[in-house]
Amino acid sequence: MSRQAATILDRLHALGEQPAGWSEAEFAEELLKVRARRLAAPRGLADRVAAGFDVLGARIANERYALSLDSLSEVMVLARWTPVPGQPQYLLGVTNLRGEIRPVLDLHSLLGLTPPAPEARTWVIFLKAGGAEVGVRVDALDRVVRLDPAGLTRPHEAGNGLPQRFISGIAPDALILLDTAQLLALDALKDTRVEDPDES
Amino acid sequence: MVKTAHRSWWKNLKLRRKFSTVSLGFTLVLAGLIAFNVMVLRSQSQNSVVTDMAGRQRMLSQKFAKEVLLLGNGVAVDHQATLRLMRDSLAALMEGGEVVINLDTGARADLPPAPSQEIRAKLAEQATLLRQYDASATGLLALGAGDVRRAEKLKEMLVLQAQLSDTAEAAVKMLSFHADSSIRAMIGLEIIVGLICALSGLVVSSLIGRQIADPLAACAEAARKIAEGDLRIEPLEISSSDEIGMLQEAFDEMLKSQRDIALQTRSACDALTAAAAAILSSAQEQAAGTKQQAAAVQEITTTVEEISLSGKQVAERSRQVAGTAEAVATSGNAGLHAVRDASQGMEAIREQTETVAENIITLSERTQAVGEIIATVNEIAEQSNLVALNAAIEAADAREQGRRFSVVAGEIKNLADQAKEATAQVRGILEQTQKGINTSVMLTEEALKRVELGREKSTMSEHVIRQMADNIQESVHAFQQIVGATNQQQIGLEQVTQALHEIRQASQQTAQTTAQLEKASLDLSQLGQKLSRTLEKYRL
Repeated sequence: MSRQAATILDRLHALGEQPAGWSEAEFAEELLKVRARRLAAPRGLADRVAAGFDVLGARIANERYALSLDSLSEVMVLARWTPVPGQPQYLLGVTNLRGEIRPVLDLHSLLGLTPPAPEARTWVIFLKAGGAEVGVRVDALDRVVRLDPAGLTRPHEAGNGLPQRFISGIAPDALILLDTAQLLALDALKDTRVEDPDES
Repeated sequence: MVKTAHRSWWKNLKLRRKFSTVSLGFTLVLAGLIAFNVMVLRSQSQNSVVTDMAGRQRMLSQKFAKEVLLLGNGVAVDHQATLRLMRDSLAALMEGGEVVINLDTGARADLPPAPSQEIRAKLAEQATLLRQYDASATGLLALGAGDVRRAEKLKEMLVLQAQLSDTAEAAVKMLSFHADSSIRAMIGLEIIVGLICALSGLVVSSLIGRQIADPLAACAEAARKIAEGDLRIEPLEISSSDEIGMLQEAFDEMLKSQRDIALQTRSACDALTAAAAAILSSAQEQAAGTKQQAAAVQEITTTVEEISLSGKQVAERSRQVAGTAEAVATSGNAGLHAVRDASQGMEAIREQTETVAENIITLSERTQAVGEIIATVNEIAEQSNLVALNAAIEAADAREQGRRFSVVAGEIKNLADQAKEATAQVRGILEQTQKGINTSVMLTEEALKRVELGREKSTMSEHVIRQMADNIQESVHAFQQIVGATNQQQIGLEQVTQALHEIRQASQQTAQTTAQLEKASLDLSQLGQKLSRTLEKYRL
């Protein structure tokens, strides 16, 4: 007991005696070193990558997914949403995007994944769909990466039995590229009202 | 006895009285016989007197004749006196009466009357002749001396005198015959009476003898049977209340008491035999017990010696322990001081630990403030990231025009990421710091508690050590007492050993005595059996 307490006390004393152990200067220096390393990376990699297209990586229930940057409209924090009655489970609800009501899809339900914790912080990625945007909920946002279409495995072409509808391809580093067109073609996003068929 | 009332007076009579009665009876009979004899003898003497008188008449007649002759011849004699005597005697012989029997002394005697008619007739004839004789004598005297008729008269008187003498002779003979016959009758009577008396005496004495001898014989028979040991005989019947009866009664009582005594003796003998057997078995048990006792005493002696040895060891150990305890008491005092120092040290530690805890709490609060700042920074990084991503999206919309912008957006994104990483690192460090602080807080709290506990413990230890010191002091005293007690115990054990030796000797003596007792009880048992066999002779 006393030995452990003494050790703790010694350590506390040591901390008190060395206040410059994790100084701001060291932190900045470490940060600058990282950045220098990145900038010192070979430039050819960027040229080779430029042959593909940009995707925005996202994490859904510990799985890494990607969405084509061209089909995206905006990202934001999903602060709050309102469930819509009478809709399938994969339609999470609607949210307010700068004064406009936008539907939000629940990809966890759609892809059969474990739903996030209720209080967890989530983000929404809005897809371009004509005049309107359709949001999809993700657990976290990754960075924008560039994918080579030749390196993608296409499940609907290979026919290896994976769920194919929402996946347009899988990158070598197991990044799953979602098919936004298929997502936007979901029934819940279509207006089936008889009186006013022109509005969608 | 009850039966006494039913018995005749004879049976109630005492033996002495009986004998007295019998002898009185015999005396009476004898007196009767003597009286009878006296009477017979008296009648005999009377008869002899009468005969004598009758014979005297003859002599008197002759005397008268001589006197008459003498007178006739002139000699003066008193012939009338002789005649008178003759007449008186004759009258007395005939009718009884007093008469002079001795002429010289003049003694007189009573004569009985004539015993029979025949004699009376003879006497009467004699009286007639006497008158004739008298008349003749008178006639003769009346003649003168020379008278012729004198011879004739003399002759006549002499004839008369002869007749008279004859008559007297005949009367004497008749009287003599009568006396003789009377004597003979008396003798016969006396013989008959004597025979009757003898017979009756025989019968009476035999009856009395039987009355006395039969119960005595029965008593003798019973006594013989008792001597043979037959006590089942019937009690004797008490036939009288005299000495024989008393003897029978006493004999019955003797038989009863003999029987009681025999019964009691037999039961006592049985009891004696049983008791002797019990004593024998007890003695044997006692002998065995004494042997066991001797063995036990031996064991006890050995044990006591062992105990004595152990006691010595205990005393030695106690001395050692007392020394050790004194050393411990000294150590205890030192320990008491050490514990007081430790208590003071604990107090100092507690104060320092409280200060440390306060410092740590302050540090924790500051770390939380840093964490809040870091959270703000992180939020800013997040927003920057979002902005960068949206910029990238916008750049993608702008295609080639937006390409440079997208690079900038990527750089912003990278900066935001780096900021996030940095904040994540800081957060991690902070979290670790917080964890460490929390641990420190907990440890400090724990340390505080433990210091408090330690203080209590040291206080308790102080008490304990003080008590221990006291106890050790007490123990020292106790051990000293133990040493003293053990020495006393040693002395006591030596006494016990001595006593046990004495007990052993005593038990050996007891064993000898018990052997003697056993032998004596065996003898007693045999004696009881012998006595029992002897008593079996008595048939009850």
